[in-house]
Amino acid sequence: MLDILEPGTDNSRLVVGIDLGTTNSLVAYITPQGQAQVLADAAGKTTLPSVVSYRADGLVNVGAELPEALATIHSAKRYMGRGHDFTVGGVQVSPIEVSAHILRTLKRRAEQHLGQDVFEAVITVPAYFDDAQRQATKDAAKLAGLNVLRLLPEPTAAAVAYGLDKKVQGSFLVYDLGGGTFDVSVLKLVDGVFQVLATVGDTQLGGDDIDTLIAKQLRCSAMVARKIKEILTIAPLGEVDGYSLSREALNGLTLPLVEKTLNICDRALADAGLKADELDGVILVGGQTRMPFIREAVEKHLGHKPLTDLNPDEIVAVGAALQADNLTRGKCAEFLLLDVNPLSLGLETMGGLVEKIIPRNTPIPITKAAEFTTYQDGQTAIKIHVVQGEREMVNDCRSLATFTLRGIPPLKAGEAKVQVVFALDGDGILMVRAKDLTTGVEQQVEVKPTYGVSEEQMVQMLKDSLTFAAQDVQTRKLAEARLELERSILAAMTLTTSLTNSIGLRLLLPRLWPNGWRRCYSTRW
Amino acid sequence: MINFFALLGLAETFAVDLKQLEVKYFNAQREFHPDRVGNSFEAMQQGANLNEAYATLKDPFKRACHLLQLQGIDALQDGPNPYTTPQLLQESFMMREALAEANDVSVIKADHAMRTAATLEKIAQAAETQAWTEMAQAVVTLKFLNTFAGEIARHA
Repeated sequence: MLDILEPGTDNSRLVVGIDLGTTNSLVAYITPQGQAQVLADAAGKTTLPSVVSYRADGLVNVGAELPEALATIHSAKRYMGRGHDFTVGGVQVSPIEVSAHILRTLKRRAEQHLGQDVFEAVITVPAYFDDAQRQATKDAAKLAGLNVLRLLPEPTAAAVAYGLDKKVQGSFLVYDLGGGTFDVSVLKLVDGVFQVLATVGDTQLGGDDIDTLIAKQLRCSAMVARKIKEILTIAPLGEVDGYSLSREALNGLTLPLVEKTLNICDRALADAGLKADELDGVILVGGQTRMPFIREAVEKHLGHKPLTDLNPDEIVAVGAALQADNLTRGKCAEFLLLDVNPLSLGLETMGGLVEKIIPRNTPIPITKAAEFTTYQDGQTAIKIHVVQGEREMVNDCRSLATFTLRGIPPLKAGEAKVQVVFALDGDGILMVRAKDLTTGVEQQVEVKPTYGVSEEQMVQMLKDSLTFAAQDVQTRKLAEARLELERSILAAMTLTTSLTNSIGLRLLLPRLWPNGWRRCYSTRW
Repeated sequence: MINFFALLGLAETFAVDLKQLEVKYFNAQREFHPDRVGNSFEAMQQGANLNEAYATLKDPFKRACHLLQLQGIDALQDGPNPYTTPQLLQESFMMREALAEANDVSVIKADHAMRTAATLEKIAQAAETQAWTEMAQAVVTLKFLNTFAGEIARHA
């Protein structure tokens, strides 16, 4: 039996692909004709700078800094799932809320293009994002009114785009250096199956760090540093506002960072059980890989001329859109992704040590059962601490969550037996089920994410965002009213100058706009 | 316990064609992956079983252990292991001594590679003739050789 899907008829299931980047964010979708389309703003630009600017009157702008901004937040992605908040005019704003603004803007952009509501998305994350960072991304989407169909690792998204567009087959290494994160994934592409063999990365390494190095060297602002860096991509000498740097000097500055990325490539290859010469190709992703020095270093180190024929800024969003489209097809899907968990999952044992239960680069989904017992007579609860990371000590790993198993029958120490099943789902997010082996009863598990957002906090944030949405509408109306007013004033001024100079504008205006004058005066336009 | 050979539709033998294993695994994933059948805990469990089956059968050591488990034999049991032979104890002692005194690790490495190949051959033959005790003994030897490989790497 065949499921026949008429293209373009299933309008209820429109899923977009979103690249939520440190520096830029994009949204793409697959047309009913099967073409990937990266959606642009009114000015024809596909990239939306991941910049959120707040003004005292409540106006929030995404994509550019507002004049007279109270605060403007850049690179919020670097703080996702880290328990860090920004302060905007004395108010705490979480990176989740900042990201939600970006996602909402992209959602709106998609809705304007497609002429229908968009509720679902595949959102890309750095492959090396841990559970808290992934959860934070999901929370941001929820806040923006988007259901996340899948969190897709950025290098995997890039490989999908290449694999489907260029019809490549074999083993590939994806080198993804973005604004704030670095990922390497080794994948195998065979007959529509994308099998991730290994993923290694650093979520705190990216183009921003190169800007910082330049800024420190020249004692200039990060903005000037970035401009110089961009010029040096095409020219041997970069000069901005009296600051100058040669490409050679930049290469020298960047060398330690590049070496760090090449070491990570080697680790990924070792985990995948491959040697560089066994690869069929190397794919470069992320705006930072435009830098000639990085291209040359990667080519020299891996012995493959990198594939760069797809736009490195857009390729991740395209891959996300392809997977979004693919996931709506169920059994008729065109391709299948088999991913791995990037970080080992462990439990805290006596003395602050970590016992690994799911090693890194294990294919997901994965379930693992572990048995626990009591150490005191009559003990009825067991607390379990889950961590993520490769180190031996709990303090060196990322605390993920604590679970309390309750309702254990009061027995002698060591007699009770509780089986806990840890499961990593397709998004790489942890789920837990527990069963009392002595009674066979399913146990309740209370999950307390260390850095995540609780359900109550989420409800509060949703409420806030709804208030914000109402405010947004008011703000927009106000902005439109101001514009209208400005135009009228201009007209009035032309009129008054043509009349007589003795009639002041202030005297004239209240008569024309009895309420409007006071309002615009009090909001200081 | 799940029979991973049956799960992937392969014959219960030690000799596994890796290419065929991959094809069977991919086909099963196409059929049962949560992306295809919906994201329930059960679908996840099924996907996890397939992943574990593939990882087990791909690796000769894990595959041998699994074959023995299907015969009710735990070759790597804790405590006094009936499959650890006096010969292995003696050989492991000598090999560790040689490593401690070695100036040139490449000789040790070559010896290790030769022993590993011979042990794998022994496991394959024992599996073919269903000589489960010999196979379990060879599996214990292979386990030691895997541990020893780590010691060589640390020594170098």
